[in-house]
Amino acid sequence: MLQVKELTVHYGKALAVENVSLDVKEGEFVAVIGPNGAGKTTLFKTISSVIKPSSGEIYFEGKRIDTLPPHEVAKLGIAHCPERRRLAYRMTVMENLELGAYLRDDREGIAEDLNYVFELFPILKERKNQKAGTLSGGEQQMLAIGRALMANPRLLMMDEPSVGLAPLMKERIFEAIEEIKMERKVTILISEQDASLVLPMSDRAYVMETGKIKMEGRGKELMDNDYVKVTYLGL
Amino acid sequence: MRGMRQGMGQVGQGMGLMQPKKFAVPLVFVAIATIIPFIAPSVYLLHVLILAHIFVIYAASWDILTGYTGQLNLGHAMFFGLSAYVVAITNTMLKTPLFLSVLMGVASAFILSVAVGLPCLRLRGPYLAITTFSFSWVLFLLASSAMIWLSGGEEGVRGVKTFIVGTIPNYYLSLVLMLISVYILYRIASSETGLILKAIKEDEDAAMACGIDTTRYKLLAFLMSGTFAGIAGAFYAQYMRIVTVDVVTLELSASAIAFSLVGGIGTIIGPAMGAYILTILFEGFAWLADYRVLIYNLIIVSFVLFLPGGLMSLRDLLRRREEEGGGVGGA
Repeated sequence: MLQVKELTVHYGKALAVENVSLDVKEGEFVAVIGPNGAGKTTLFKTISSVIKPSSGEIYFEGKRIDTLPPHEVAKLGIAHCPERRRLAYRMTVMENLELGAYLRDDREGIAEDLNYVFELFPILKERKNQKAGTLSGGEQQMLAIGRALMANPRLLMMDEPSVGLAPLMKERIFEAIEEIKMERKVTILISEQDASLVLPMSDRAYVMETGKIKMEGRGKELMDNDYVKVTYLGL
Repeated sequence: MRGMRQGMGQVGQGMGLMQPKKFAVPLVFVAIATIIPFIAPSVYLLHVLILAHIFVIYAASWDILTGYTGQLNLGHAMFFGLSAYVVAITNTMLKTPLFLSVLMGVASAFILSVAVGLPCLRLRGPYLAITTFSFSWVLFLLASSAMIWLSGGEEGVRGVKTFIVGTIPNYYLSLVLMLISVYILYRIASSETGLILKAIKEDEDAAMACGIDTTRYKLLAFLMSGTFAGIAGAFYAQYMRIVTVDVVTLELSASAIAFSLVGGIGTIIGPAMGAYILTILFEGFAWLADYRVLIYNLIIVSFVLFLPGGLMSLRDLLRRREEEGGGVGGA
């Protein structure tokens, strides 16, 4: 479904992503784990075309997308739930969700998905007329995921959904992500620093360090890998 | 896109009950504004109010681009001024009929907004502010020195025709023009388009990730903003019958910001209110005019510090008090 081929990305002269190849098949749950500054966010931003690569190609369902503007990429069915949420903080919860559904015309589908988001995160329903900036960090993350779901995407990209959250809230968010994985027919690409949360539910995972893919494998395999155990799981 | 609001509406927002209250204030304003010429038939007062009407349109048009879309425009006078000059010059020198001159004036503001808007689409923050400022500065330099043979400099272009002679008819004409313009801008701002413009102001990258073609909407905001400022400038030219460099000054550009800050940026109605109040204040106390730039700056600084949401935020505060009093407010 998604193929990233030999992608290299620079910020000015600084190299952020170097020769990264990655693929995600329809229906898969794929994780990218790695420390701060590994290039995970840059990789995601390049896939959604907010950043242009210096070399390499990205294909979505056989169509080349790295040359398209970001809104065209969104139209193909890729929803990007960005790092640190990037909500419209001075707009209400409801308005943020509306923006997520910007590309859609199907009334019934939108209403259904809105109900789904409210079932998944009941607190958002309670606070639907509140400004997004007044929500707690965890609630804002819920809203960011909800906004991405409102697009009814084929590929849902979540960039570090647990960043900056308390342990309990992290678990709550990952329970919701597990539910999305089970109940929705959506392919998921997720990046995360906390490998212990994401590896158990991943079909496959990539380990990314200093801009490169260090290793890849099935989620369970990587959990048994000595290097991953020591470096990421703290075992 | 069309399904967005309707689909969301099925869950029910329950905000419809506010309607009668929402119309009360504008209706009272229109009623009072309509009878003013009868209860206070002072030519001077009406003249001040006509200017106020013109600057209301001018301030509201600035707000759609800067207040809503977040594209900081420091040179809004360029649209107002170009339109006013085009009306005056074509009408007096080329002897085109006034109606055609006005059309050309508004069209020139529209074209200028494309010319400024297109290069500005790729600029953000301070770069955009400097660019808009520079464009208006160039226009000011042309009008005040380089093209003085055309603009007349401080002397200005005199003898512009007017649609209707007399203060009272011009009062009503400007009132109607203001009400229509503000209504249109307000409706756009409260529509889905307004929601999208606000989303661009909040976070342009995030808006793009939602599939919004932000370039298109930013250009649209430029066009609406420039065109309505052009309408205000064209009306000004035919009413004043003289156009001087005043219409392209830095001071006029700054006034858009001061008006809007007083009323409340990003609300359309707020900047309109601010323009109305400040124009009356300045014209009513003519001796203040010498200190105008100083006062604008004081206003800008003090509102940013003490009431960044402007007068409109007082209304929200009252509303919240009311709700809490009724026991609706949450923890």
